[in-house]
Amino acid sequence: MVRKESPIPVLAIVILAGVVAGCLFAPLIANHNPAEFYLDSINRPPGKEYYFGTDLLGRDLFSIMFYGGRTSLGIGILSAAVMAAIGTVYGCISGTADDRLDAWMMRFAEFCGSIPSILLVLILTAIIPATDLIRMSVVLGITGWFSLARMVRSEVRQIRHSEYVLYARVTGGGFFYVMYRHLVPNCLPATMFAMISNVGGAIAMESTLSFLGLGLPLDQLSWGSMLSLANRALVMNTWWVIVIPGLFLVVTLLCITDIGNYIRKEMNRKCSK
Amino acid sequence: MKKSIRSIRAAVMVLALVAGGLSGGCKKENPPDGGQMAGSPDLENTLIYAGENETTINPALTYHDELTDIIFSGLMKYDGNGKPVTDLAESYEYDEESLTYTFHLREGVKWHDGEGFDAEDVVFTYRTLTEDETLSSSLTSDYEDIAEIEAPDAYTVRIRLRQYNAAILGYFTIGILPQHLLEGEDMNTTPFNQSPVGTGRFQLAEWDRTGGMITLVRNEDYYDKVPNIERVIYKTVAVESTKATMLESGEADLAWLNANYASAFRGREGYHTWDFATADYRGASMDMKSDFWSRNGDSIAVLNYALDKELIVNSVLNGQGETAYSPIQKNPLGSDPAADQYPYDLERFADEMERLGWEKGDDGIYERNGERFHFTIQTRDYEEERVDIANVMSAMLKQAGVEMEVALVTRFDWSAGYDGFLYGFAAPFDPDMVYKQFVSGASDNTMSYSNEEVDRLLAEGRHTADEEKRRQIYSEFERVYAENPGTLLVAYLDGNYVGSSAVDGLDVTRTLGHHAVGVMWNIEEWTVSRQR
Repeated sequence: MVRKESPIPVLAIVILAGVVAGCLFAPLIANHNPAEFYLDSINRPPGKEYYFGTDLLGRDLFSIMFYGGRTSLGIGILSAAVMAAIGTVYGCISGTADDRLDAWMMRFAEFCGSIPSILLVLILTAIIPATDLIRMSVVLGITGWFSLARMVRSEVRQIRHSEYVLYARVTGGGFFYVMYRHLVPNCLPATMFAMISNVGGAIAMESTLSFLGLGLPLDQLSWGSMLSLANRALVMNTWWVIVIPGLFLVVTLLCITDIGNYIRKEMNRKCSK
Repeated sequence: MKKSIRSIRAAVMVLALVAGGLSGGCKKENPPDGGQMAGSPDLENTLIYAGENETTINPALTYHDELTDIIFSGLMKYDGNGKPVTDLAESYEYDEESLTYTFHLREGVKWHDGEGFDAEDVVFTYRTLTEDETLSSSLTSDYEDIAEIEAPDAYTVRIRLRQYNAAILGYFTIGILPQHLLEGEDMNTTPFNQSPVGTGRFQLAEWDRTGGMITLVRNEDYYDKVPNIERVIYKTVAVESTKATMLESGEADLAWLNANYASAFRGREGYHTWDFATADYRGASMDMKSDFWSRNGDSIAVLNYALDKELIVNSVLNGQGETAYSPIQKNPLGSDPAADQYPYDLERFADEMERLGWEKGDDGIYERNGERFHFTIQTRDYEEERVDIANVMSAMLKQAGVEMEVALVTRFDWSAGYDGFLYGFAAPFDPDMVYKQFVSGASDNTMSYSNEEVDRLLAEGRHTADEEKRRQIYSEFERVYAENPGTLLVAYLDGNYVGSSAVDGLDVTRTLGHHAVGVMWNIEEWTVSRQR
């Protein structure tokens, strides 16, 4: 039986593309300087002059959303890349190793994965302060690859005794050659969805950290660092300071999840054909 | 390292939140009207106050502190008008001839632990302040004119001065320490600092340091009016928005809020706002020992031209304050308008910078002798108002061509090589209160400010009796300081206290000090009535 083709998530793709384009072309879209304090118009609600309003130091939220999105999306993609790199290599080693080592490696990954990632991140930021985009991505990457490694490993496990893998190894193909030529291409479809979800996860985690005051400093604009103003906005009743960055965050995450889901369904359909 | 402390603290915080969430579940059986203290029978007459962080409660070590004022009491105390009046002393005489104050003490006063208070405690306290070489306190410069302290009998104390001192009567307000508990102890590290015993209106019942809660009960044996309020629960919350949230949720009855937060409560049912005048100012205080300022100390004053202080007051302070030009501007003997010599004027700024030999580099930042005009000041991340002031100052200076970098820290780090910090200070009573801060080598001169003329004027002001002459001396000090400042003054704050409508009795006649401290000057008159 051929499963029904799931519809392409057009809306999600369009919105996400819009957000990404907005961030890429932020200087063209922004109508104010995102770093400037417009002190004569603090706490303005959304309106004509400031489309999304201003915060309590008169920063223009509309401009910040697009400039800040660059950081947030950048962190998402970079962290997901770090996770993919570590997770894939770890999974391939574990999947091709003997049972004993494989068991140990998997128990280790499961052990780390069972610790709430926020705790791991907090401990790691004590060692590497996550003060810029790169460091933040590395921290998030190091603490987020466990489930991906397990997925890769189970895929590799299924194909490691296939003739073409054995042939490559017998004829002297090194580990990385085999991984690159045979293992990765075969497990990519199954793990693609996880990698895309990781982008969303990392963006959410960056916001959480910044909200706790542990992420990027406020002068490094991101959706998360804007959300760190939320507790102050709560006291001041300036709802737009909370709602607008939150909305950008939620919509972007929803789109990413939707696209990820579509890919997962597509892959399942192809595999079960 | 700072970051790591911060992260660990946050990790603890997260755990505490989880734990708090769990215990919150158990509390639900209690009726909601008691807040989080539900179940305590006498919450009826308890004040829950959200205040600054506390580490040490000892009048010889800390000032700008509410709790030392209510746990301890001194020979004198300040009344509502900021004038010293008798307290532990029943009366006093001053003999001009021998420069000697003679204090006649109240009899029958008891320490919180039941021991009797007498003249030996007073002698012990003042000997500690004047003779103890190991004491590391920012207050010692206030007492350097004391030559001799003696107790001719159990209820008389004589303090002889080296020379006349106009401000010393005010400094006799310092809390008296119990000799029987502190004799032979190292004042800086003694456990007494966390379990203080005084003669004041309230006594310490419990200090829960992990929970950040100090419980005080009223001193039933107090020698003057016993407070109406039975208990004060002092919660140490430094973060400004947390204080506001606690007021909102009913977790606290009273707190000092920054101007913006206070405005959110103004006129709301169930809340009451008290607007005190304060002598508390904010500015960027430069560390004169730092490499940058030791080379460029001549270029602090000029920065005043580049700051639109009016705009800062109207935005960050929500109009609750005024622009600052002198460190004793709110003092009865201060505020010479001639010292207000720096209008916001970017053209003037550019001219003056040129005169000082600065030239704009390619990046728009001034340079002199191959050095960019770049300095870093630290500010504590939880003091949101200071962070905002610093950020806005930084943006204004940047526009003028000067880079002031703002480093957010969890606690001030004096050895990390910052060029200054976002400063606050107040001289609400005698203008001599700035002596210890600006005179070369004085006990509170942490930023190593030094100016011969300032040294001379402040010494003269301290040792002059005539009020009119003193006013002239302090006016001159204001002008000299304005020309050679160590602090880039920005604004004076108002002291906005917000409380639930259950609290009553605060008296706004008093001008408050740094961190709006001093609000509890008449706490014995306050009442809490929880009727809902």
